[in-house]
Amino acid sequence: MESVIIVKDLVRQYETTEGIIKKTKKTVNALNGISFEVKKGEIFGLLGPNGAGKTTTIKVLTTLLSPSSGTAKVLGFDAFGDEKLIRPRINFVFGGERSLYWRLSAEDNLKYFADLYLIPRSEQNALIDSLLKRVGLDDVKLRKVESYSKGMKQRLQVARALLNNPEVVFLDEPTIGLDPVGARDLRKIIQEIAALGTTVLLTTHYMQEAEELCDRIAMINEGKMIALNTVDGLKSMIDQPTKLRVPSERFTSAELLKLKEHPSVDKIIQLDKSNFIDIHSGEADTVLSKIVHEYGRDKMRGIQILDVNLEDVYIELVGGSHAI
Amino acid sequence: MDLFKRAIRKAVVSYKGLFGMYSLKAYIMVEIIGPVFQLSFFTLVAGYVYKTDDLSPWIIGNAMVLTYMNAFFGVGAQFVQERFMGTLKLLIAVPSNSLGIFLPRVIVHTLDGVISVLIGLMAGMIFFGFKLSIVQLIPFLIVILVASFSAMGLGLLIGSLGLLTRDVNMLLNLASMALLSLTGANFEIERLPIFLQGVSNLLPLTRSITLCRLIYSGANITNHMDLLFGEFLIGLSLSLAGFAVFKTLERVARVKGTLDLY
Amino acid sequence: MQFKDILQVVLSSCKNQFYMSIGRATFQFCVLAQPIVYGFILGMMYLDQSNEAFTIYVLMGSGIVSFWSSICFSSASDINRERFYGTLENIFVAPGRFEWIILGKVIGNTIWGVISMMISACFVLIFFNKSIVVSNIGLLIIGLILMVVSFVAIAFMLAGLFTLSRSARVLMNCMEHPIYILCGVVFPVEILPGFIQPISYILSPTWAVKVLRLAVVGGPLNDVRYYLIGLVSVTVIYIVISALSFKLIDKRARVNATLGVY
Repeated sequence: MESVIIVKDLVRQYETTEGIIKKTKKTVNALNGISFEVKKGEIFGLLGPNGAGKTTTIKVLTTLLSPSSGTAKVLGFDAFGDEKLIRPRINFVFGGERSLYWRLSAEDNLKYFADLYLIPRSEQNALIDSLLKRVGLDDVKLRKVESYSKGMKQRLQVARALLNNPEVVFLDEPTIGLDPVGARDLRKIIQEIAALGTTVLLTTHYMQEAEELCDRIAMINEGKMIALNTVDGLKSMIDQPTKLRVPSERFTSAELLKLKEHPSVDKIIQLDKSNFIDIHSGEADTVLSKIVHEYGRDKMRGIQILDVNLEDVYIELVGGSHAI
Repeated sequence: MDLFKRAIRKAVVSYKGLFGMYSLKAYIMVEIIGPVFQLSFFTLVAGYVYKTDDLSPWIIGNAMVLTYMNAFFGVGAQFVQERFMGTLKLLIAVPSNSLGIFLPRVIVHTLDGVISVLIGLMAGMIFFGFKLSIVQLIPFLIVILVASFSAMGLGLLIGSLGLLTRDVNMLLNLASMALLSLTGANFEIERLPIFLQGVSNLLPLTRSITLCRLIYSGANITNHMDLLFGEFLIGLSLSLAGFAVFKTLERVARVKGTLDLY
Repeated sequence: MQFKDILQVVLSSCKNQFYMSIGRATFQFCVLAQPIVYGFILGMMYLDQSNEAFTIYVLMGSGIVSFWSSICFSSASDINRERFYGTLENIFVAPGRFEWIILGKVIGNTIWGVISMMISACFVLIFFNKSIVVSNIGLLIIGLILMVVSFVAIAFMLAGLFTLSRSARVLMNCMEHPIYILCGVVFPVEILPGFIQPISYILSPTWAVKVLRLAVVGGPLNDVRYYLIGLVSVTVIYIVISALSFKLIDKRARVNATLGVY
């Protein structure tokens, strides 16, 4: 299967200044040499904390930014240099409420962008109608965008991004700020797009979303790639598939240290800024019995037995926890 | 003392917050180069039309008008800017007395307005041979301060109306043009139709421009205190009206929900 | 891109801009109110002058002032507005090509500029009871058309140059009066100091104004030819610079990352 996106040793620096009259120049490394490839038809996820370099990566690939060094190729063409060959075949949605003309209606917005994407006038009406129907906005298409909710604006943006039937769609935090229902609707649309063969590269903070949508995920932190695998492959980086999530105040440090010595316990992790402690174990039932046996049934209250998920991998790799 | 220090800090920080986006270059462009060109424009027209080398009446008139930049686009536009930045609702909601928030800003912009006028006069000195004697400087400064305060009052009144509408800019621009065209800055008020002359007498700056021209041609400020006092009164009335409108509309805006429409 | 594609993009962008511009208060002011105000002030200043001077400097002068203020103000700030809407990045990479989209925007604003010029002319004709002098109607029409084209060329060039810079809007604040002064719109270029006059002649409106002047007062055919050739030549140079600028913009904006951040 061919790769439609190839990124190799991509570096992007910004220059910024500090001070008003006496300005000192500072160089910020947004990307520190990342490499990955995306196959045709894949839903590929870029995960990472704020400032990791996700948006910068997308901007380079959508030909909005030039690389400082390294390679970025989309559909076989250089993102900086061959952009005219790439632009008609891709599209993007940057999360948030911008990228639309508020004072125009949804229909007028789409008509305008359809013109800019050189969609023949004769085809526009049918195309716009079908897209609006697909994203569930056809009954409000004549209302001005400024009166739309966040979710509606996001869906309109997706409609806009599909005008030119792109081969690759880039989505930067598409469900940010959406309520659970709105987010779920949008995820459904993304899956439908991918099912038709469109390659999707998306960035997100929401682990569950990444797990649900993505075929493969790359984790970035501070401009560097720290992991790249399928969801299951990433989860297997955590040795044990299950964990017990325990309210922190339930156990004293001494009790936890004693638990840690148990052969069934793999590790115990305290999440930063959280009220929970995770006890990773392949034999959660054994550990639970041990707790009941040692401390009584009351100690069991509030304990959850969970499958290890992407959040655990993320926290392990990116930080945000410490081992006990 | 603490109240005073806080007021200063409030003024400075708000100024920086709204206009700090200007780099030094941009500041020079907007506050110096733009106004100087506007003054030069009208002064050159006057020079050509009236075929005179003494351009002082137009330099004085147009320099005074420059105070509108801060009166309107400083104080007046502050509500627009605050709404734009999304901070208007925060300002209304804070425990600080609203007068305590806005008064320091008004003072800062009044002084800024004085500076704008002085920049205009300096441009007149550099490019058009305008000469102000040391004796005339103090009376000039007094009149300019009162004029700036007066223009500020109009800015405050119009800016307060900005709480109710989305587009207060039109009003601010119209008011700027009124100052340019009806205060005698570029042609004698007597050329105006009668009803417009009445408006002229109620506007800020009209008396100040006349007074400065009199001082420039040798008159003593003490002989024309009626003009100075009249200007101050206009400023005071407009400021009080502005503040009253602000307090009323603050309440109405909360009811109508237009505080943050953008 | 085929010609029909270019036409589609330019027309669409023009239409989009035409409707979006007039929705903004500042633009409404520039197009509807400012022509009247400047017509009024200039008319008052030139009241006692000859009919020819009045025709050239008030009727046409204020028309040109209104025209330029409508489009100059908008070309750079419209780019900034796209940044603010968050749509700049979208139109930048659209296959319709950025430069054609911008040209459409400039033309959209130009239509309003022409409307504002007509408003100014109508106001001056109605309000002031002066006779208008025109020697050569044909030349007047040609001159007006070429003037519009020459202004479009400057606005297009500036839009391109200012796409790269975040301080675009601020610089735009200083683009009105310098043009009026340097191009001799409301007084002859000849009254400017000698060392400035060469600058005037690299600005296309200067030549347009000369042509229009000849249309009013009449003049030898050689003069007419000279100014027409000058106007066309300078306009062609602007078009070349624009083309080069936009080629450069595509690379530079992406290297300097100036598209997204407001």
